Amino acid sequence: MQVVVSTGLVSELIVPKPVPMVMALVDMLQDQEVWNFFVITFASTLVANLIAIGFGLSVALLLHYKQVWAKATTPIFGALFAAPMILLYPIFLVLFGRTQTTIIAMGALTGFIPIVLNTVVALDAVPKTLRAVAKSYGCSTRQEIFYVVIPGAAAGMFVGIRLGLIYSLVNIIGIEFLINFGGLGYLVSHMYDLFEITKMYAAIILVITVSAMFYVTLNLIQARINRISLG
Amino acid sequence: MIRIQITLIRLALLVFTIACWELISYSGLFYKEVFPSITTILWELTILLRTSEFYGHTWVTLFEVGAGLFFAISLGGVTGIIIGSSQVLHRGLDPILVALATTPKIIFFPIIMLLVGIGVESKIAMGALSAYFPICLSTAAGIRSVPQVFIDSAKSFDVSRLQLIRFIYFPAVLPELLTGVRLGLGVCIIGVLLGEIKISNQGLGFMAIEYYNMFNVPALYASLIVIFGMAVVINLAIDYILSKAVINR
Repeated sequence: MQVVVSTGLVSELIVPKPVPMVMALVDMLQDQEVWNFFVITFASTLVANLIAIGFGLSVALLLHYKQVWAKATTPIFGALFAAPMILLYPIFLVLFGRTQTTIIAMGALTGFIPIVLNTVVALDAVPKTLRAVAKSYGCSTRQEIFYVVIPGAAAGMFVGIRLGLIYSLVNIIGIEFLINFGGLGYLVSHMYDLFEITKMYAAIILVITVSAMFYVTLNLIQARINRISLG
Repeated sequence: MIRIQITLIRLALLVFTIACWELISYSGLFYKEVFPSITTILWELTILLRTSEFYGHTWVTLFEVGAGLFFAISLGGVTGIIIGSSQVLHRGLDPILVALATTPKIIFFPIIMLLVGIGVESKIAMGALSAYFPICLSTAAGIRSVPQVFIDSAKSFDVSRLQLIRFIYFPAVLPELLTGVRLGLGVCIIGVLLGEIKISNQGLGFMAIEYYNMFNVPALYASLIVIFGMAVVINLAIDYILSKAVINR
């Protein structure tokens, strides 16, 4: 790539040379402002997911104990999961303005749906025998939920939480890019607006790396939870 | 009895949502412009559906989605087959593809704009890039799942490489490829619309963001209803076509 760009086959205004790109990436990693962008994106993802997990698990528990409601609403959640939810962001812009609240609200909304869907499936998959044993020991419904149902469904519930976190992060970076506000997405958009092509490529590599590391970390946590719940 | 209950619950949810919306709209908690009444939105929707401009934007978006999906299927299918049929390529490229698949594709839009400009091509490329990963990964996974015994049996009949692909790999990989297309279509629509929202002068995404910029909120809601409706209809249509394709196979 260095050779192709150096010989002028591809303009440096379109694809920068890899060496300056790597240097720009190293510079970025030493820049406090870039770390601030990183913190903003991750704090938004975390807050959005705390909201999504809170609402998602409550709704899923409710649906688990009201099966008719689950049957009536699961297709609706499924349709929403497949719908392009990110396109609702102009509505949130109208409601909350170009603020962090818009980004967090969108992250929470996109994280909420996979959490509900997967938690309902995970809770339904808890063996009836375990519940019967809990009942035979005289457990109350609250004890049954906290000591049998939730631990039994932990692995499946985390599948939803993991998906929720990934969807939230993807949507949050996407919205930051679209509205030129916030963290890592804003960084890419800002560099493009300044026509700092080398830095823009470095920022894109940074986003790819962060997303990949986030994905791998969540997979490792999932594997650990699966191991614990299996035995 | 349960069916009736399910229908009643869905109806109750619909009525509840409409009632809540109208209550908020008339309560004064938000500006009337921000939360217009449902009748105002529906009125805007009828106005929107009567304009020729709307159909122009719709055709542009449909064309971009169709072209994007076509390129994604062509490239994703071929590279998926190549990657899936080679142990070395699969081990080397699969983690990279998975990492790229989890990245928000919209951040590649500046590169696309630098490469192909800001016209319709950039939205087609955005749609193709978004749909490429699920199609390629599903196809590669499908190829990997073909039992070795099938391949060995075919080879014992001395089949050519082309026959192996035609009679063993292709039928085996078709369900996965179709799953990839189904997933790819959803993200292709999102990619195209986000590209239109970011920078464009035509298409449904552009139309919606123009209404936002003009603070014509009822028309913004109406255009989002149309976009979501269109996404649902396209998804249902592709589901129908793909299920027919599997049955006819």
